[in-house]
Amino acid sequence: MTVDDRQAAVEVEPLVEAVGLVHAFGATTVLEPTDLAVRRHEIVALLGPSGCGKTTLLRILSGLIEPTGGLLRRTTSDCAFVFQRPVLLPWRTALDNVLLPVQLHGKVSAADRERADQLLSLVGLAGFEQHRPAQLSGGMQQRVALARALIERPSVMFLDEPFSALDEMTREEMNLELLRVFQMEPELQAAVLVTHSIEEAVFLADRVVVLSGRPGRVLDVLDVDLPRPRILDHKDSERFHACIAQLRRVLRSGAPSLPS
Amino acid sequence: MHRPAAPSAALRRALPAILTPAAFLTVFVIGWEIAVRVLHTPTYLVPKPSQLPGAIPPGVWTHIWTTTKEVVLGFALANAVAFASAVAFAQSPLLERGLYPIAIALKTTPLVAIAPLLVLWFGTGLESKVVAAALISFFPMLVNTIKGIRSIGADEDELFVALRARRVDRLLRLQLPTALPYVFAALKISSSLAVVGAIVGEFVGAKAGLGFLILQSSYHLDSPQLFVSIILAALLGFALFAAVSVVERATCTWDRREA
Repeated sequence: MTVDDRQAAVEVEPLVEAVGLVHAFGATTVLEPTDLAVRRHEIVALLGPSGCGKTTLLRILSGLIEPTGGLLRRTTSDCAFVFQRPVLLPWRTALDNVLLPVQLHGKVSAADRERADQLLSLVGLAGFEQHRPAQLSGGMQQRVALARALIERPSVMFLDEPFSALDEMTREEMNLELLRVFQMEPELQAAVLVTHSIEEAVFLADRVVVLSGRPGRVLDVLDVDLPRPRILDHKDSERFHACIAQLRRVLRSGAPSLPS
Repeated sequence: MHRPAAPSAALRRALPAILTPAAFLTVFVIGWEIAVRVLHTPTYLVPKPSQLPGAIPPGVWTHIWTTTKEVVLGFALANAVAFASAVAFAQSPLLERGLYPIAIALKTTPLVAIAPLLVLWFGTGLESKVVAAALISFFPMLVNTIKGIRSIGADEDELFVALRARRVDRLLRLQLPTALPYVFAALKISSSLAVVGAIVGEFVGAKAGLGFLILQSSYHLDSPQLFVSIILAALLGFALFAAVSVVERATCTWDRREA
């Protein structure tokens, strides 16, 4: 459900708000009543064990699927989704992959091309515009996917474990990339990110929402008060480790079946 | 990785691909010639390769042209209709549920069994052979294109949902490009099948064509001419296959799997 633009103008209003959200696949409940608000200028991480319904929650928040119950309000329709896999079309060049959303919604203008070029540069792929996905590494492909998500200037970006398929070093690089993009793109006001990495959640997010094992429900919400812009040095800070320790405690106590 | 190489480099790589089989073929033909001479095999069983050029019948071009026409027309007709059907099936699950099993059932009916009926219906001219070639070329395209469209991943599907793509965009920008390698695989399979269809059609009743020539040669125990006819029929299928491959290389530049 979207509220009209008059209300959207109110700065304090959350971009996305879920109240008592529930979801079931047939007889299986995957999400118990969940409240969640995504505010402007924040990155929210959804953290939880595999199969806890965090991806389902993300899909509902983004509008990809309809919840079976509860209330969902979105004050913006400019959403972009980044999948776990890059999901690039192999017959298109990197540039044409980035331009796909524009093409599906109308004609591609010279300005769109220019923006696609700039975005590819922004994610560090200048010079690779005419490469096909098969010629790019996994990390580079996910960068193209990130540029594609940004092409239509979304105000909220939803990311479903976008870096989980990458090796540790590439992943760290991509985390910084995402933070940089978040800073550089003025229209992008919020991001919701699903992850099963505690460290990634703390490093990227302003708030970490911890979900319990199936059926998913919110165990805890942690405010990460590390300063912005985040830099890798933060990972060595005491505060960073305190956050990780706290999240680990919550995850372990809330979901005792989780291997320690 | 998949960048087009410079022409000279491409040629250098393609040359062994042509020369190696050519060398093996030459050795085989020489071995055949020697074996027939040494063993004194009667010509009506196995003629010598050196006899074959002389056995090319006069007016061979008419026969080649007749069969080529039948093959190409049947091939084109069948693949066009099959491709359109597959695309229609992909848009409408009802159509697919209703017609696909019937199509599969029809596929199991042997062409040789239907061929006499085709001649009865369409006469001994071009039409019956075109239909025979078309019938046998139809199913690879239908089955493969459906399979190709179904091979679209759940994520790719969801991407188009998330981007609120229109049906026509989904078809043109996702389904068809994904199915394209499967389409070419089908074209390659049916390129040789179409020749079979045309020749079976000619066997039942024809006044010209390579199948007609094969039948005539066998009636007259003219083995050299029979061999020539068989080789020409094989070359026809090979030429069509090669033509499809050339188009595939130019089109599916992102997909370099060998089909």
